[in-house]
Amino acid sequence: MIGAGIAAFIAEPVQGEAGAIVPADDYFPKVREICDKWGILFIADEVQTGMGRTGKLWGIENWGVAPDIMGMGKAFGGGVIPAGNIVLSERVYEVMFENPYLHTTTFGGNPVATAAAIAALHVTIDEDIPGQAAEKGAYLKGKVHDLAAKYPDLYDDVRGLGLLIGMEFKSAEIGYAVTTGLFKERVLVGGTLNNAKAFRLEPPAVITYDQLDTVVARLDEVLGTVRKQFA
Amino acid sequence: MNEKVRKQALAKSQKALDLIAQSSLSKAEQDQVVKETVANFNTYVNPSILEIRKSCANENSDYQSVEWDDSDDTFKDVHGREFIDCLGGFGIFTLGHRNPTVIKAVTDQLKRQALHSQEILDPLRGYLSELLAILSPGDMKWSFLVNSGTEAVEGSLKFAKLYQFTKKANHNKGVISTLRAFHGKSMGSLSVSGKDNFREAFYPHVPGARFIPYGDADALDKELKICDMIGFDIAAFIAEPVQGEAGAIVPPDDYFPKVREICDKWGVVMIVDEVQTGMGRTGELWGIDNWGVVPDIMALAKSFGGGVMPAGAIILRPELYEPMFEDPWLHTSTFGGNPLACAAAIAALHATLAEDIPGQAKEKGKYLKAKLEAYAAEYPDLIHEVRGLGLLIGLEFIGNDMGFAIGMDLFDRGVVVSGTMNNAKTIRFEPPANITYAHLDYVVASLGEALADVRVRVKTGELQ
Ligand SMILES: Cc1ncc(COP(=O)(O)O)c(C=O)c1O
Ligand SMILES: Cc1ncc(COP(=O)(O)O)c(C=O)c1O
Repeated sequence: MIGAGIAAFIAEPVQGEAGAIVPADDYFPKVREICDKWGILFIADEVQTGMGRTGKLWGIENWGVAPDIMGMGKAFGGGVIPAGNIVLSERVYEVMFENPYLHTTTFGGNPVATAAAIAALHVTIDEDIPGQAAEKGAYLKGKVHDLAAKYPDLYDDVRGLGLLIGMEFKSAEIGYAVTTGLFKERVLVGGTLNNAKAFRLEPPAVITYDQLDTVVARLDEVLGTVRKQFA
Repeated sequence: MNEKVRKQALAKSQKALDLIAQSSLSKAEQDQVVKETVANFNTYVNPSILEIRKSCANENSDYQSVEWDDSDDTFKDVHGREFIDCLGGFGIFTLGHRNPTVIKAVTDQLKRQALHSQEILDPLRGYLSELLAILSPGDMKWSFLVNSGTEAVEGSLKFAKLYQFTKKANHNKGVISTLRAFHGKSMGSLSVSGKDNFREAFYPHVPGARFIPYGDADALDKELKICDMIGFDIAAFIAEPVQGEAGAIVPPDDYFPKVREICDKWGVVMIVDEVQTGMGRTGELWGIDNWGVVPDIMALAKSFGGGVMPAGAIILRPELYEPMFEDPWLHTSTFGGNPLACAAAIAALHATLAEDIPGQAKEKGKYLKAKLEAYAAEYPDLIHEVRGLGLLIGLEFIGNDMGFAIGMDLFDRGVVVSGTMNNAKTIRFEPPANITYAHLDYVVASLGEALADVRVRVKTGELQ
């Protein structure tokens, strides 16, 4: 209506730094339709969700949607080398055929990074990392849900997909107490950049069930202590 | 994932992994790699790169050079053909290819830990930052580690804005840059890069960028005065000590000392982009050391990773980084300062000092530049100008086709030089600082033959 030409819509399949926010199941199919209707491109930021993290190779595959552009980073280098990638449909990339130097990067695609990424993709598929993340994610999320039911005075929400699990606490102070408590028990969990009350469980997909059980047991203990502290 | 896709991806990646693990290739394998690489570029990378790299193909055949291994001042293609590297990865390979000190540090570190947890204190980040404080000009002290040149520039711009924000909030916070500057191609760094063809398609840029001619300090003072008169707040001035992609443009000797004074006078942060000039390239450790000036912020990348790892850094004077103490997550980078990159950068700094890379660049740069100047005198019909500092040397031709023709001719003689992004008429010589004099002499002789060839082709009207 205001004549501002919009080029693209960008979103994370699951918002990571916001605290593992999973959209409604019809969200991305609708987004795809709407982007097509208005003739704009749909960019999926798979930097955190890609490479099996959410139980599918790419996060967006959870909803069977094909974006026009996909941004990758983080696990794309296999946890060994910094690497990222932009995958595009031919329609979108064609504009770069005329002048391939219109966008460039010095270190992008260097031999060490590409070797790491090829190996990372190979291992991801060979060891069924998406499958492991789906299964262990469901297991862990179930256990944390149980804890949230046991400690409703501390938890606001448990959410996530695959092994990208968010725990939102009643306050940032409670969350901080839980995570520092966990750290003392030698379990490292992540804060989030964009939500002070939310913390992330985002272990390697190769984590063992034994270790997952240990994490849950230690979390239970810490929650007990924190409950007393905040009572 | 359906089973067919899974099987196909596993087979393809296994094949590539086997290739990576191989120490040598049979003739049949060599041909196969070339064929498949060409096909993959055509279908999955960018077909027009093949067109442009025709200069890297034997003129009379479909033969494409596909690089395979490297060491010191040369690299080889899949077929074992050796090239003297006078492009130096546009500044990555100042320490040579696979410098042993850097390779050792990176492989040692790789055996222990590649990337960091993101949460716990990482030791190498501390050691590297200390080293940078010792080595950087004047009282520059704090480091923020990144992965690339463009990321170093983005961060530099943000830190300058943040610093100004803490002094005076709610202002437009523009940045003055120079014409034909190259600072990178992500949105922020592109906004301060001064060449139309890279900018046009990507409006709107980050607002507030203004441009003045490079090398003209008075222009900076005037622009700041204008900005002051119209109430347009400038956060920073950014420039390369020697403009690289513009074709090795060296400013007058009083330029940076004056820029420093003007920045102080107007309260503007002085950022120098040392991505290409740092780590000894221009004959001093940092390009700006050529004029004894202390900037407020310095952006590093390319050779900072020793030619082995992607690595970059932003170095800041004490005052400039203070705003980040309040909230250290205001600017972050996942891979920045990872253990492999830190190991590489520590080793690179060590080797740069131990092997006197700045001294080598200075001496060999003088040697090579003198030879090129002799050619300029001999071929005034072809060569417009020779310029540069240390081993960042530009050769500007008179006609549009000449530089490209010389590049192709040199390639056929086993010498790789670089075109420059922001100046099509110029080729650059940017070899590793540990290039041998024997190789330099070969390069000079080859250039002589190439110039003679091109002169004939210009006379016949084939080239302009
Ligand atoms: C002076 C300068 N700044 C920034 C960059 C961008 O570096 P990168 O390609 O690593 O983003 C370059 C690359 O050519 C450069 O020469
Ligand atoms: C979804 C997403 N996109 C982009 C980024 C930025 O990645 P980097 O820190 O490598 O620049 C992150 C990092 O957390 C992320 O989670």
